[in-house]
Amino acid sequence: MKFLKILFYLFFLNICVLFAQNNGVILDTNGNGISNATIFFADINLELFSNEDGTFIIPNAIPNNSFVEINKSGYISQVIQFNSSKNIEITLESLHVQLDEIEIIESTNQLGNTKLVSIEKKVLNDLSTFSLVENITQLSGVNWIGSGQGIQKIVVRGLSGMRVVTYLNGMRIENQQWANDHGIGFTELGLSEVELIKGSSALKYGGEAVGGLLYFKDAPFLESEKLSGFVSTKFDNSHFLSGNKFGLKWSKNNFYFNMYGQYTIATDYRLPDNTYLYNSRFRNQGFKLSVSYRSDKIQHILRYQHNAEQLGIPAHVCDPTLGDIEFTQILSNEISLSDDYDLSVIRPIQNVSNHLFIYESNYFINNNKFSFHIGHFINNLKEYEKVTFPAFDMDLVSTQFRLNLRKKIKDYTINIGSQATRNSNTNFTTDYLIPDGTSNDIGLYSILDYEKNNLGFNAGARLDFKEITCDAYNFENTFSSLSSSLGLYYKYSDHVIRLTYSGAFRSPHLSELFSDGVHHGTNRYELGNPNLDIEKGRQLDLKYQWSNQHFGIILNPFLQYIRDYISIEPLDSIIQNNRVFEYTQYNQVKLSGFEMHLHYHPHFMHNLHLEQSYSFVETKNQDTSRSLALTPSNKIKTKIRFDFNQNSLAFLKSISFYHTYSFEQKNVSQFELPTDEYNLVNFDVSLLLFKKIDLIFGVANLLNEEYVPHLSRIKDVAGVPGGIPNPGRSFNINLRYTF
Amino acid sequence: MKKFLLLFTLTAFLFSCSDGDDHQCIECHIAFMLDTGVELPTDIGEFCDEALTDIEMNGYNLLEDIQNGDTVVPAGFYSADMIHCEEHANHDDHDH
Repeated sequence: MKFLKILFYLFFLNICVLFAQNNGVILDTNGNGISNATIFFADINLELFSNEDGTFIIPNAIPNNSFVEINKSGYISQVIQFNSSKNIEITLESLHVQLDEIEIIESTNQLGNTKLVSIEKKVLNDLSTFSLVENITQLSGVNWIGSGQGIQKIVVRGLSGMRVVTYLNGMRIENQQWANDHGIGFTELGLSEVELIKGSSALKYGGEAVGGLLYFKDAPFLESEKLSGFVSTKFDNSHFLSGNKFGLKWSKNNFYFNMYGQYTIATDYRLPDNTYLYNSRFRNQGFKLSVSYRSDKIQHILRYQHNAEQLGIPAHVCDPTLGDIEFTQILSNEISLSDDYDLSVIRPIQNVSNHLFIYESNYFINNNKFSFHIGHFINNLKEYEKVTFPAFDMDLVSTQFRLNLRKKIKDYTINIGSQATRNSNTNFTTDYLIPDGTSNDIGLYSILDYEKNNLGFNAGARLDFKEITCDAYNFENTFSSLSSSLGLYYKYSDHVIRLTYSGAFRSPHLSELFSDGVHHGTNRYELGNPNLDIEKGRQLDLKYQWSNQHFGIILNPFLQYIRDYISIEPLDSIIQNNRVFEYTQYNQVKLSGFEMHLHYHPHFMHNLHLEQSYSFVETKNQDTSRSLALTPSNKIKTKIRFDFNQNSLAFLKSISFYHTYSFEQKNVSQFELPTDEYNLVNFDVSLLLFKKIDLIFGVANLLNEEYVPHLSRIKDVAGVPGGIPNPGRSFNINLRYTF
Repeated sequence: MKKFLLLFTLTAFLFSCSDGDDHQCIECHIAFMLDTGVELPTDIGEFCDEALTDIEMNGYNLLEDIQNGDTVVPAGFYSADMIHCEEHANHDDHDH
C-alpha cells in the first residue's frame, strides 16, 4: 500500500498541506446530538458519519467553499459551503413527510441544481430485493424493456435506447445500446445512487439525451483508517439466482481505497404455471477498484471496472418465416440445477465484456472548482448462434475528455465546459450487422444558475459537432446542433413550483445509418438508412409540490415534441429467413403525460408511510396518428411501509408492501399487439441481526399473477398468443454482514 | 491484514470461475426439412474441438444415407445452416 501511495506522490507531484483538525456536531431542534448522520463532502466524494453524541471530526484539507450535504433519515437535509476557519454546527429539523427521491429539495447533484432542473434521485444499495433496473423503475415514468432479470434496459417516459444516455462515474456508457436485447452493461455493485433527468434538460453531460439521462455514482470514499466493508449473498428462487458480493473501504493520510467484487449465476426463470422459459439464464462477474488522493486544493481519482456477462437470449426462433410456434416449444417443464446454469452449449447467447478506466481530477481555488475527466470504455459484444464461433464479434471503444469550471459568484453559479468523445466500432467477423466506423464528437456548454431566497432560475446552452465516418459506405458527414435549457423555480410558503423548457438534438447512430444483416437477438434483418438526419426534441415540464406535516403531493405534467424521429419499421420482404426492418424518420411525434405522487403519513402512527405514484404517458406519431411502438402502459404504484421502533423490536427494521396496477395498453403501433392489465404485489421484511447482519426476505409476485408487460421483449414472439409471461411467485433472501 | 487477505482470496476465487478445460465434444444433427415443412433432426454423431468448429463453420458431407424413422436422409453435402450442434429450445429435443 505504501508503494501505491509513493506512486501517487511521484506521479502527481502533490504538496500536501495539512491543517489542524476541526470538529463538527449535528443537533436536532432540542439541542440533542443526532447519531449516525451522514456528512457527505460532495465535491471530493467523501463521507463520514456522526458519533453517538452527534459529533464528528472534520477530515484534514477539505477545500474551502466546497459543498457539504448533511443527511439523516427523518430530518430535512442541509447543504452548506465549507469554511475551514469555522467548526460545523448544524441543526436539522424533523421531517415527517418525505416525498422520496422525487421532491424539489436542497441536495448536491452531478447533473445540476435539483430545484432548477428536473432531477430525480434513487438510492441504490446491495441489499435491494430488486435488480438494478427494477429498482430504478420504482420511480414514476420509468419502465424497463427486457426478458427476466438477464437482459433489462431503462425506458424513460416512453423513450429508450440511444435517446436515454447512461453515465457511470462521469463516463458515457456506449455498449451497443441501440438494441433492446443489449442490457445496461453493469450491475448495482458498489453504486450508491442514480440521478435521473427525464427529458432533454441534461446539458452538461449530453446533447443527445433527447429522452433522458441516467448518471450512476459509485459509493463515496470513507474517512476511516479502520478497514470496513461487507460480504453479502442473495438467492432468488424464480431464476435460482445465486449472487455473492464483497466490498471494502479504507483510507489513510488522504489516500482512499474502495474495492468491490461480484459473481452471480441464474438458471432459466420460472413462469406462473411452473414451466421455465428456456435460455433465460445468465451469469455475471464484476470487479471495481477506486483509489483517490487529495490535498486541500486538488484531488485525483482513478477508477477501474470490469463487468463480464453471459446472457441467454430466450424465446429465440431459428426460422421465423415458418410461422407461429407452439408455446411449449420455448419452455421446459423442469429445471436441472446441474445443467441449467450452463451456457456453454445453449444458443443463442451474448457474451459481453466491459472494461472502464477513469481518471478524474478536481482542483479547488477560492470559489472555483476545475474538473478534468478522462474515460476509456471498451465494450466487446459477441453473439453466438453456433457453439464454437460467434456470429458477431464487435468492439466498441469510447474515449472521452471533459473539462469543467464551476464558478460561484454570490447567488450565481456558472458552469462552463467542454466534452470530446471518440467512438470506434470494429468487427472481428466477416458477417456483421453494423460496419466498422468512427464518430468524433465535441461539445461546448455553458450553464448559469441563480438562486436567492425563494426564487431561482437556470439557463444553459450546448453546441455539439459530431463527425461520423464509415469507410465501407464512403460515408463522412458532420452533424451539428444547439441544445438549450431554461428553468424557473419559485417557493411560496409550503408551495413549490418549477417550470423547465429544454431542447435537445440527436445525431443518427451508426446502427441507424448502416445496419445490414440479421440481428439474432431480435429475429429480424435490419437495414440502415444513410439519409437519416438529426432528430430534434423540445420539452416542457411543470412540477408543483405541496406538503405539510402529514401529507405531501407532487403534480408533474409534461409535453414533448420530437421532429424527424428515427424509428425502425417492418417491410414486406424476407432476407435470410428473417423479416426485413428498415430505419426511417417520422416528421414529428408527440409525447405527453402526467405524473403524480402522494405521500400520507398519519399523525397517530408516525412509523407508517403510504406512498402512491401515478404515471400516464401517451405517444403519437403525428404522420399516422398511431402510437409509437413500445409505449409503456399507464401505472399506479403503491408502497406501504412500516418502520419499527428499534427500541422495542431491535431486530425488525421494516415491513413493506408494493403494489403495481398496470392498465391495459391498447395504444399500439401498426404491427404491435395490445397487452392486458395486471396487478403485481411484492412484499419484503427487513431485519438487523446482531447489529452487523442485515437480512431482507422478500416475495415477488405474491399473487402469482400471469402477466406480460407491454415492454416485454418476448410479448409477441413468433405468434405466441398473449406473449410469454414474466416470472411467477418467487422468494428471495438477501444477507449482508457489515464490518 | 487478515481481512485484506480474505478478500483478495475472494477476488481470486471470483475470477477463477472460468471454464478452464477447452476440450469440448458435442452431439450434432442435420436439421433435415421434410416436404411438409417440419424439421426432422437426424443425428450424425459426436464432434470434438477442431472437427466441431469445422462442421459448424463449413457444413458436413454425409457419405451414406441415414434411415430416420420412415424417412431416408440422403447422402450429400449439408451446409452449416443445416447443421446444429448447439442446444436450441424450439427444434431440439432437450428434455429439461
